[in-house]
Amino acid sequence: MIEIRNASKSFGPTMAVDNVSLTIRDGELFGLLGPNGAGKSTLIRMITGLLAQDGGSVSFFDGPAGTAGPLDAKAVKRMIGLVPQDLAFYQNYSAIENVKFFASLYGLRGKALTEAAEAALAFAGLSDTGKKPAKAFSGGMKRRLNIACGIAHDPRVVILDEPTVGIDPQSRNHILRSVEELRRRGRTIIYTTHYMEEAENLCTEIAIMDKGKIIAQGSQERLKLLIKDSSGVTFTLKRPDPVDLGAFKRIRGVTTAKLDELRLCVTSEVGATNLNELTAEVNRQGLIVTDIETDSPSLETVFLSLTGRSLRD
Amino acid sequence: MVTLVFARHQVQLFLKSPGVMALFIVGPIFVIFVFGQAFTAIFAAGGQGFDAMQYFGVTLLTMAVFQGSFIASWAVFKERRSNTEVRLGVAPIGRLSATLGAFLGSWLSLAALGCAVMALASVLLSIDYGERLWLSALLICAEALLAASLGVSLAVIFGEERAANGVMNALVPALVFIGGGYTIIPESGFLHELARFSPLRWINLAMLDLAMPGPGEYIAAALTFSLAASAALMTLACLRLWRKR
Ligand SMILES: Nc1ncnc2c1ncn2[C@@H]1O[C@H](COP(=O)(O)OP(=O)(O)OP(=O)(O)O)[C@@H](O)[C@H]1O
Ligand SMILES: [Mg+2]
Repeated sequence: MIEIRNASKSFGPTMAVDNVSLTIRDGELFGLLGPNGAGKSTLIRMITGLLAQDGGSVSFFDGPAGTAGPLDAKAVKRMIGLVPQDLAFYQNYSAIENVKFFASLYGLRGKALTEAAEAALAFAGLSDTGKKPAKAFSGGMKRRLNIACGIAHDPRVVILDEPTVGIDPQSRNHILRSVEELRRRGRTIIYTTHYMEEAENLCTEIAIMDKGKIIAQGSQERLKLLIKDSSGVTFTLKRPDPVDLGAFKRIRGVTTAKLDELRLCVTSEVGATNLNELTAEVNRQGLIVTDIETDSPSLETVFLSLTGRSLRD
Repeated sequence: MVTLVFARHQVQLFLKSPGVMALFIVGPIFVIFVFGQAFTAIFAAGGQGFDAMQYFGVTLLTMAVFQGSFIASWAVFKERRSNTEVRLGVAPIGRLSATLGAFLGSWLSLAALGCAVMALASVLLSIDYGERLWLSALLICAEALLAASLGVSLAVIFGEERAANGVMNALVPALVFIGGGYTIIPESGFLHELARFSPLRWINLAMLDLAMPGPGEYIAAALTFSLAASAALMTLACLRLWRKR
């Protein structure tokens, strides 16, 4: 189990990580979701001990916290496997040479080393790359090699920092399936991304990070509940008629009403069940509606409703 | 153990850069040839007791080995360049053993390169390195050790590639020059006094003496100077790494 308490880190005036507290339980696939510059990589660097925090603490425990004291730095290093955001391997080495070198830093030697390296390459779908130097790999292959280099020593905790950035769908699918496989094998996984779909499809626990702060955290269902209290209805109008927004706002349960060209968006408190009143008001104002959407919440809307911005601008 | 892993890694990476290797072998041979030809007349008139090809066959060989300090600094900085520093940082290894491994690996590479140049120069340019070849080779190995220490320690102490290379860019040619790399050091005068501060001076004297063949009087001085300077530099580097922890 990993416990992060009030961790902070600033670079000059930038609070890259601002008083973050998280608990990551064993076997969890923990998603850290946030836009560019949210502080994900900085937090990862603090978790892996690459960067000293300005304040707060990061502790690893063998099992749940409280059963035993936190593990020492060396023990923590042994159990971590990091897949850094930027490709990190030797361009002149072949895939197997790279993987073997990094695995040997964890004390693997001889036959055990070769077997571990081959297993990691097979896992990453790079078994048949032979002596080809890494610099001759395609972008997707390089991403997968980056993963293989981080997991060959079979770490209990695998930390992947945006492992699918900028690659083809095929390699991406391979990587996502690999991460799921790691989870099936009981590894604890921390996965950062700014792709909503990835976090939604993959992660069991999600923390949403923005401007250095964790703005929401929990299981997917819990996060979606966060915004269920502002379920939205969007009417697409046929003509840009004038709309009396005030009348909509006076309807029971409505929190906001906005007109965005032809789109009339009304959000209401959760459980307001006021769709009848809304449609009645639409009719009363003589608006011609071509489409009605009610949003089923996604992480995208969670992010939007929490920050007022969309995740990818 | 980790040190050995890194030493091997360093040699292996070096073997994978045939361009750099070729440059370090072909370059000196070429320069020895050019200098040897260009200065033939001057050396003949000067009555040095050896010809220009012989002189530069030694001093430009030791220059080449000393320039290997750039390879040693690269050995440290390559992890940053290839972004693998983060992987080393999260692995359960010490920076000290990794750095010592890079040092060991670059020393071995440089010593091998130096001996390769020596062999090629004696075959291609008929340069004489004396009867006791193993002593000449030993001197080259000692010099390679110094070059590796210089590159690694500057890299560690400055921690920044441009600063470390900047210092080496000033230091290496200066020591080569006052060591007699490009010109014969006079028997007396300012340059003569200054020359004693260059480790290359002693190595050159010892190797020229071996070729003469002389009694081998400078060998002890050359080895002592190289090993002591190298030990001092590596101690500084280790202290620096120790304090950074
Ligand atoms: N070494 C550094 N020096 C100065 N500022 C830094 C440094 N590292 C990160 N930052 C700043 O800290 C903030 C968080 O950066 P970080 O790399 O952690 O974001 P991220 O969530 O990983 O973003 P991305 O999705 O782009 O990788 C950014 O504003 C960044 O400019
Ligand atoms: Mg990042």
